[in-house]
Amino acid sequence: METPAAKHILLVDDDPTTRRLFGSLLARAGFEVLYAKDGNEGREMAKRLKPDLILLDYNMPVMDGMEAADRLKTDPDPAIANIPVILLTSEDLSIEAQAGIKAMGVAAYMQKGVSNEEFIEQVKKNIDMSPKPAAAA
Amino acid sequence: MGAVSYESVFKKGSVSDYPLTIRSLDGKLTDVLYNASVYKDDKGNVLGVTGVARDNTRVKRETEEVASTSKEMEAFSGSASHDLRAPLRVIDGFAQMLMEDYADKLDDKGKEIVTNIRASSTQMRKLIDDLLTFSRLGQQEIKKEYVAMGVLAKEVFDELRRAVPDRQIECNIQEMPDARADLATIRLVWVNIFSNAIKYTGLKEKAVIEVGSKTEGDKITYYVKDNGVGFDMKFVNKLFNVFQRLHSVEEFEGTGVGLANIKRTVERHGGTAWAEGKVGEGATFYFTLPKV
Repeated sequence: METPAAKHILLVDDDPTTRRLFGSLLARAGFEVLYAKDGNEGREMAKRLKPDLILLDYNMPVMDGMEAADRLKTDPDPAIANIPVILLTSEDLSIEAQAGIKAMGVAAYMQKGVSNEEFIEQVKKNIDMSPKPAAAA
Repeated sequence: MGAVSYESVFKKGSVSDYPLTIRSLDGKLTDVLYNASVYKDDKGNVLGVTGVARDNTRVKRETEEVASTSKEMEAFSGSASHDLRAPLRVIDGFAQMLMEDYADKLDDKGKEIVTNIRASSTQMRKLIDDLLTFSRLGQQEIKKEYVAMGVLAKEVFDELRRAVPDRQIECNIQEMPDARADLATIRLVWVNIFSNAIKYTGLKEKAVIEVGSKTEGDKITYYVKDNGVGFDMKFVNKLFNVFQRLHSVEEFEGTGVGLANIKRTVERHGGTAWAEGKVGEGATFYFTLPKV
């Protein structure tokens, strides 16, 4: 029997140590991890590689998480716009900000300080774990 | 600038604390405050002007220093604290992974080492969080509204009580007058005071906490009395300093910022905070707020 292909997760964060921790946690949970260090690079990789979920850091140089999320969610290609996006924040978001990202189509947000377990739990909650259908002939 | 102030003396009869920068003969510039008035003869004719320039250098410099410290504190409250917290999160995250994934390869000593790493990085994260709260308390604007202190105190206590369901705690909250205060920060005062009362009565089989108030003149004094471990009055002056603790982290966890937060908040409202204690018998924490 074929083992299902591992789900790909794109992790976009400008801090290398944070990338290392979250990347390790994701790999440990059986995901394939792709890395980008700012919103621009992240968006470019998302369009090219179409990951199964995108983690976006809120505060980044060049293009921050909010702008990258907005551009991804308004992408004309539904294969891109439908990729679940989780925003990673340093602090809790205000009610207004929460409403704002929800309106944008962001699936969820979580604070970077959450526990290892909660981090993986949130990812699993928002990713579609069903095997992808074979590419149309 | 000088000409303008000179003219206004004649127009208005006097000028007070007009800021000027004057240049001495050797070229040195000095910030001054100019005070002057006209003087007249018996018939009311203006004869001239007497003026005094007061050196304002120190005041100007200190005002600028306060402004720049404020800006630095704001910077800390903002990105700096996140930059400080992120690596600590990473240390704890990897230490936990080490414990979990290499449990069979670590002997007891090895596990102890990893536990120490986690304990220290967690302590430091708490310190940064508390310091962030402390610096924000000094920055944010105070918005005053009527606060039902009795209702607020009960709400805070009930919330904290739910976190320690196994403990026997008796808490009596008397009726208290309303205060005019910033709800969010006064709430924090109650959170800190009750947290301490609950924490330092941890060794007692039954904790007894009494909450009440006394109105004297133009001040209302609120107090929280506990029958906990207390403290030596010899050290009462240290109690409210940032990071000062009279007990070790092993005896009672904490970062030593709670009381400093209380003091800072209360003082920003125009009140004072103090405490009384007796080793082994308990402590009472007081804070005053101006009467409504």
